[in-house]
Amino acid sequence: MRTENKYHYLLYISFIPIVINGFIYLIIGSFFPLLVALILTLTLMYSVNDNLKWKFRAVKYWGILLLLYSLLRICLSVLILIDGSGVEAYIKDQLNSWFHIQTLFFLICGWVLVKKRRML
Amino acid sequence: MRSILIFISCCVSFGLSAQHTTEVEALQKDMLARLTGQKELFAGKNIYLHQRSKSFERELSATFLFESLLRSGLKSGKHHYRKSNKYIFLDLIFKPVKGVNVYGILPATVPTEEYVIFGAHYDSEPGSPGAIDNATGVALNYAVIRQLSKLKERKVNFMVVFFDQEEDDEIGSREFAKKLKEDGKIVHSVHTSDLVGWDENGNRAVELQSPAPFLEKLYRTEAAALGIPVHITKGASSDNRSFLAEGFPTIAISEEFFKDDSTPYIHTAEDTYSTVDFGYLASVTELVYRVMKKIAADENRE
Ligand SMILES: [Zn+2]
Repeated sequence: MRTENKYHYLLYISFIPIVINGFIYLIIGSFFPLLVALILTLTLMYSVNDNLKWKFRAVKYWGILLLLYSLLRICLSVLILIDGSGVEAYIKDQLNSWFHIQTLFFLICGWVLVKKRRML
Repeated sequence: MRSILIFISCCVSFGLSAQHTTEVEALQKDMLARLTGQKELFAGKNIYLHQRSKSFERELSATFLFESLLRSGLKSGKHHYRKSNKYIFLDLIFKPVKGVNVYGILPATVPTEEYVIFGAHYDSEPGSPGAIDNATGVALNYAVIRQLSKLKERKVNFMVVFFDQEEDDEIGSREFAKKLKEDGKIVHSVHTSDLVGWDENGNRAVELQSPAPFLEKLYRTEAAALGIPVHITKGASSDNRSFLAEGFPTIAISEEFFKDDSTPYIHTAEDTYSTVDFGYLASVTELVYRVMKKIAADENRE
């Protein structure tokens, strides 16, 4: 029987922000973010419950995706900080400490999942 | 005897109009001072805004404007909107765009479903107090609706609107124009004003951008009576774009932006209260008021 360990929880927690984001956009009539979130999470859930080889590979890809996502967020923040001309004020407004905490969360999740995927 | 009477009536009417102008100027000075951080935004609350760009600053400004309209006896409301980002992939990174337009309705004194919409954006660029761009537009429209509310007869409903996020591709007015269309409102005309506080050459001229022909005629007539030179320009460079896109008869009023008599401090930290030409603002306000009064009296309506 499979036992849940802390890395499993980390994996599930790493889904939460993108799923929440998907629902936020669904409320205002945009399906795209939820569609992306569902495709990613369902593929991952399916793979994680499949054989071990696939499970490790899937978690690795998910971890890498999270790392790339956090890097994209960091790059955007830095670029806008260097030259924010032409960038909408409401975008700049969102680059606050909460945005950076979230980025850090994705970075750590991605890193840990890639490193510890065999302990899942 | 007759000439003495004419002289006296001239003096009285000049005195009344001067008093009226002073009242409008005082009202507009107070509103501009509060919107640009010269005075506290709400009396006794120690909040000073030095820009109206961040979400919380825009929300505070919206509340201030909403309360100002309420105090003026108008049926007022806030139109909140949330929408996707300009590029769909940004929805995966950023929160939805959100903002609030503020409106006040002055009902007609006779039964009619027809509305005249006039307004200005209240947001500013980051780092700019946005005095001329566009607290002047806000103050203009606020003074106009207050004056209209004193009319005994209005054959059309008036709606004053303060738009959010003009500086971000006119998001606020676009959402408002869409809402007007969806609600099936019967719109007589839409008048937007942006940048109405600079007149270095002292000619009091205004630019009217892409006016509907019947509106151009109305403005030209009233401007001629006031001795205000008028320039017609093409295109759409402010909130008027949103209403033109939805097919409403539209006109935009501004200082001489294309004729190079416009604030040099636009979108900078120097766009401050002290650079505003309040006499010019009052003069444009009088022009817009007279046009509205004409429309209210059912003249030149299409
Ligand atoms: Zn403007």
